[in-house]
Amino acid sequence: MPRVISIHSFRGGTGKSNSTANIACLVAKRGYRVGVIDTDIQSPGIHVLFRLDEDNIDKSLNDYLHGQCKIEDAAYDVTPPAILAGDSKGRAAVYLIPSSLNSGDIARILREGYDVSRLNDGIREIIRQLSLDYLFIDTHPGVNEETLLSIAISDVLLVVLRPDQQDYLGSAVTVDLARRLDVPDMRIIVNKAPPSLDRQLVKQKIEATFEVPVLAVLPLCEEMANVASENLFVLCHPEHELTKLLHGVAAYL
Amino acid sequence: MNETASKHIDILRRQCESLLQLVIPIGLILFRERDFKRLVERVLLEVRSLCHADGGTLYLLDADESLRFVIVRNQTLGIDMGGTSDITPAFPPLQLHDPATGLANHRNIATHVALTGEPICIDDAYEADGFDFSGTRDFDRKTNYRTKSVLTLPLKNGAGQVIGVLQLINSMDTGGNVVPFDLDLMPVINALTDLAAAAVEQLVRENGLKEKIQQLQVNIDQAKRARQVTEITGSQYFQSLAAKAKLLREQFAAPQSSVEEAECPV
Repeated sequence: MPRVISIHSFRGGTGKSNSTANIACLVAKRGYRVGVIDTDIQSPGIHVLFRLDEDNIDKSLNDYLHGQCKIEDAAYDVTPPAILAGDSKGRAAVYLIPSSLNSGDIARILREGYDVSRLNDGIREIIRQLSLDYLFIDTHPGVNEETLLSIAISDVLLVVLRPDQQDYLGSAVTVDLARRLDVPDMRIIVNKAPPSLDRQLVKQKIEATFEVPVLAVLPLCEEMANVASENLFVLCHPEHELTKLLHGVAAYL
Repeated sequence: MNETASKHIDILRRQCESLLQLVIPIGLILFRERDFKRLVERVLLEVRSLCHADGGTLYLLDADESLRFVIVRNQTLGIDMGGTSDITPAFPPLQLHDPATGLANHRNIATHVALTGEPICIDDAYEADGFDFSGTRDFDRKTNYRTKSVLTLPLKNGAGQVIGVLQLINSMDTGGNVVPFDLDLMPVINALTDLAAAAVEQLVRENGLKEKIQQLQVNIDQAKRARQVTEITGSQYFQSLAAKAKLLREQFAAPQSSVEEAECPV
């Protein structure tokens, strides 16, 4: 049965897209067919992590939402060679449905909006077309119609936040909304925890405040900052503590 | 009983009396003190009083392996820095290792004691071999002071690790003359510094934990939270979505044929 995982953060800069890409990659490494859809239409970026060159993006999610192509035409096989090499059953795959990087396309969608129900149809269709085991939705920060839809259709909602006062209120609102939408499973990932913080203490405090289990407290580390914007950290640093923590998240999902 | 034996018994009796009447009560007071500035001041003043010293300095060992001046007192010169005083010691920290070469600094007596963990008692700083007292001489020249007897003690935690250094200057006899430190008092002084180190370490740990908890304050404006949630959940879109959320999830999980039978527009 396919599982839909939404990854959401209330504010930008939490490392949501990075977490999404790395977790998706580790889930695929376990022999699953994984799709990642970039619904952060206003500021797309996850394609860079999968090394999908802008020039190679012919059709995007924007084209599908405007009725200009089928959703599967906007899906790109971005399976990292390292995943393929380690997949004995020949099933593992990662597909990315990117948002357009064209400023005109971004401006158009901001100006005209789109039919959110079409996003719902597209998600359902791509799961079927590509026989996906998992679909990860990299959402736009904040709350709007498409993020609410993403949350509503999720089997699991991962709320990414930093241990930062500015992230708490918005994350609490997201958690409340997800509860109202009866999301079956909701977890928090605390990202970019400074080394000075006791991670166990962070986990306890966040769990007590939000009444949501914390799936992982990921440390802020220099290595992540170095590779973060252009590569998948878990493949560059397979033995790193952060990779091990992300493995834990993938195993849970 | 000969005179030597009698003197030895007298020393032991004085040590026992000091332990019972001074060290244990002072130790209890130190462990009850929750204010860091008052604690370090109390440590220095009590040890100074026990040794009849004119002055003293307490250093703490920082993570970068330097001794930080925490409190400096000198009765004759009226120096009163650190602790509850408003004046912070303005001296640069003492590096345990030379930053350029990485070599251990055994020339300075305080860093030497921090490095070795062994106390050093010197009867006359100006006559002592092996240590660089040029800084002390400079200080004495400027202040018209004469540093003579110096007792430098490591502050060790329960695991035997040095967490700081306590240095006492110029032990005084009842006539106000500078005399060597009384080595017969060493067991008592050591007992007191062990208790002091444990109390300081405990408070440093407690304060560190408090700081971490403080950093972790998760304050959420509940009124604002409720208002924002109400605004969103009150919208027609949200209510329609909430009504259909379960069905939508079921559609994702269902085989294609059954989905087609039960289309659910958002």
